[in-house]
Amino acid sequence: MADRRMYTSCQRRAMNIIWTASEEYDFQPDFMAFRLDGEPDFYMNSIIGYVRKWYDQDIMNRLYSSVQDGLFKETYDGLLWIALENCAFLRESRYRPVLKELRLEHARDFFRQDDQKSRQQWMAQNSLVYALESAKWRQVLGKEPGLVNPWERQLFADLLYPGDITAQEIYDRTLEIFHRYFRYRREHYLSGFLTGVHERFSHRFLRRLPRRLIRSDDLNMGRTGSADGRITALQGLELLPKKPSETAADYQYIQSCFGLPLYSGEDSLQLENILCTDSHENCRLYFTEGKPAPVEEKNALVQKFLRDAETQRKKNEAYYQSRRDFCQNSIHQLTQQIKNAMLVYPQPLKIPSRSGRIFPREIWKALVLDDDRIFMETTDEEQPDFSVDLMLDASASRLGSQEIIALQGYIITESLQKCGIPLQVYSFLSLKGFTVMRRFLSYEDKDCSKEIFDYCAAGWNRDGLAFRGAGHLMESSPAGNRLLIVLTDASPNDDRRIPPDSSKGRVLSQDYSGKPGIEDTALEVHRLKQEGIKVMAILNGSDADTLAATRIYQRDYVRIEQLEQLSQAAGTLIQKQIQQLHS
Amino acid sequence: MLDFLWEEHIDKGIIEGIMEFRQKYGQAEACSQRAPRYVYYGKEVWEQASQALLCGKNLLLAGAKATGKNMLAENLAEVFGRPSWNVSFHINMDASYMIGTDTFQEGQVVFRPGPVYESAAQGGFCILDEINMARNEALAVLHSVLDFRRVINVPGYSRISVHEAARFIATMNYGYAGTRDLNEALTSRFMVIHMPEISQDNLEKLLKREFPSMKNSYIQQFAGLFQDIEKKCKNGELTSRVLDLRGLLDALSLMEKGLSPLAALDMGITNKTFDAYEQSLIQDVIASRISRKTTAGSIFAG
Repeated sequence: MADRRMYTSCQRRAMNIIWTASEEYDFQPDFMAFRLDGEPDFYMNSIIGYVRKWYDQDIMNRLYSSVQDGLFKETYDGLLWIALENCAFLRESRYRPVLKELRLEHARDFFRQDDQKSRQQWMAQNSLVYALESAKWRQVLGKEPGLVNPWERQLFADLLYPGDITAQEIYDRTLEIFHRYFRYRREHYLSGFLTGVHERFSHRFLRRLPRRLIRSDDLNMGRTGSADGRITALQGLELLPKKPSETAADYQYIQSCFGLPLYSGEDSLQLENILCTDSHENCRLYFTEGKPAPVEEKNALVQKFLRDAETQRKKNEAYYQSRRDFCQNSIHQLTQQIKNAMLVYPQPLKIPSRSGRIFPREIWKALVLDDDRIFMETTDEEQPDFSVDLMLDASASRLGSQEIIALQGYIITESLQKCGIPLQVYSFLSLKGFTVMRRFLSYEDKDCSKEIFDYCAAGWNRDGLAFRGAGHLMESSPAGNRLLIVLTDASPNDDRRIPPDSSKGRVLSQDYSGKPGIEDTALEVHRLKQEGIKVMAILNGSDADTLAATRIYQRDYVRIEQLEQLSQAAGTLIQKQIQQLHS
Repeated sequence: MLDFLWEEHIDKGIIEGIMEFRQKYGQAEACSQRAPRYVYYGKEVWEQASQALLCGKNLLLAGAKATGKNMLAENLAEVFGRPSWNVSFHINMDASYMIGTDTFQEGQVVFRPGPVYESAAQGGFCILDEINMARNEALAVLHSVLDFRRVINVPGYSRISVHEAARFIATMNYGYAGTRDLNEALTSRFMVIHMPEISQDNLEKLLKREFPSMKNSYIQQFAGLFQDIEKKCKNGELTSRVLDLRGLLDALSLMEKGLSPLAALDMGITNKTFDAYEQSLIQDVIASRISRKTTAGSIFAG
């Protein structure tokens, strides 16, 4: 089954059409249909849904998998769907009069798209499936199918499954047809196929269809840039217990790369004793504001890191400069949105009124001046009493979009500062067992939003521990209500494993990635929420894991695919939280 | 309205109970208010709610959007033949808004009763709409009204007993932004009905009653359309903004007047969301039920 998170909005829309038709939502479709321009094919997706609705799924799945392997699965798929369209249409159209018209429209559209095809697509469509499909849609439009070859004509007639066919009959009949026409044999279908028909029909079969109907599995694309080579290779080694000298060297390395620690050694130790427990027992937390160490660094690796960081800072700045106008617009828009949200709530005000609580000082007015506004109406005192923390994921999975994230951080920071909301900004990443929280701005800092351009990505992300760190940093908030916004891709991933803990049924250590990582992060977010902190996330890019985000943040997240959507999305999230603060 | 209960095959004992109730307390004078705009379909809920009210209990109707909470509350007041007062709750609600407040008339401070006071005094049905929008502290004043004491204490004035025929029906939705959990003390004073989503059958009945001239085939399609959207909302593909039965009924009434079906559905449903992607999903759902070529005339007979 394909992973739900990999889908683009078009694919998701296609799935929605299928779900609507099938009246079920608890499955990922095996097939989806798209038009040549990439838009979902409404009619065929509906048909895919109706097939799901009317025919036994176990049998249909068996059929799909029977014809799925091998070089020619597209041809089999194509023929299969010509057949299935027919019976599903006949079955469903009894209950859905509109379907006839949709089918006609689809047939017309099929030929309309011919005009738009490139030469390559014209070549590619010269296939058996295309010929039969054309025949079918011609027939739907009330024309002759136009098949000359008697073999094709017979195959076409055989593929017109009737409306009252059952799933088992579909299964038997399809395999029988494939066997009869293509010498398909389930066990050795490829050899049978090749020896029998290959030569005769290869010119038709070996050409790929202009993709119209595709299996969902084919959409699975791996996430790119999720790890940088340097650290993935180390994973095995990191499992070994460390020697003390190595830990000290690591600490030195972290300090040289990310700057002096925010807390003294003793305070850090105390903090780690409190925060680095349970699933994070073997990990450490390092808070820093990026102040460079006074001594010059001789380690070549560190020097390279510092150089890279500096280059990235310049890139971030340059990116900001190149999009300055856009940036200012976004800041303006977001500022207005937040200000509006805050304005909606009444300020403390006492107004004279004709009813309410009597106000003795004013009674004389009623008697002498005939002004009966001698009561006071008081609205509740409402002050925008909240602070915001912005936490940026700075792991290597963000390498490809560092400038964008820095700019997003900048836009949010500037907007919130313009609204006079206390704000703290930091990034987090994990390296050599340290989760480094790099603070760019504290609540007291003003007018130094550009510090955020120091943002650079590296290493892993142990989100759960980062949330603990964030919880600690938020303790200094001057406001009663605290909001935490995370810019993330919602896929926790760290090279340090979660240690075994038999009391929690964890006999073996676990990778800090996938489900365990997500569960741990969800738990930490839940803990923060229990402390009254509102946690919400902005998911970046189309590769963000929405399923995991739902688990971790429930409804409190938005996904943005383009920078342009940021101010709107962040505005909506913050507005929602402001509303909740006041409700 | 009682005829409707017979039509819906509501338990005979309950209908007789309601008739007795009406006889005992008489048709209140203030009951000249207009009949409810829609009727509620759902036999079981009708029976549960009526029985609770007959036994003198207060009702809390909890449910998602478009489950007919308010419709039922108004229907109940009508069936029981009592006047109804509607109090819409909001965040700044306080006791004076519900019970009443002081005002100045003819040279002296007098008490101006609020809706809860009025219905308690006149034996009406008080509909506490979206009760969980208010702060729990503000609701504490209702405790003595709702429990066995059945009294209202108005500071500075006498305390009044709640009329025997008075009932309180609260509605709440737990999905909306700004709603909160009711505290236990208040919840325990109500009998709670979790309102089910309207079934395809009941929705078809409702459409038929509202739009008698609509062709059967279209009644099925529009009811199916609403169910499709409901399923999408339940599965998190759409937000509840677009799950809007009122919107569907409004759209149908525009169609009845001659507006093109797609335009009417856009106004009543699709445009309730401002997200382009979500709009495209709804348009897909509509396209799977209603042809682009359908005219308003073809939906209604005659």
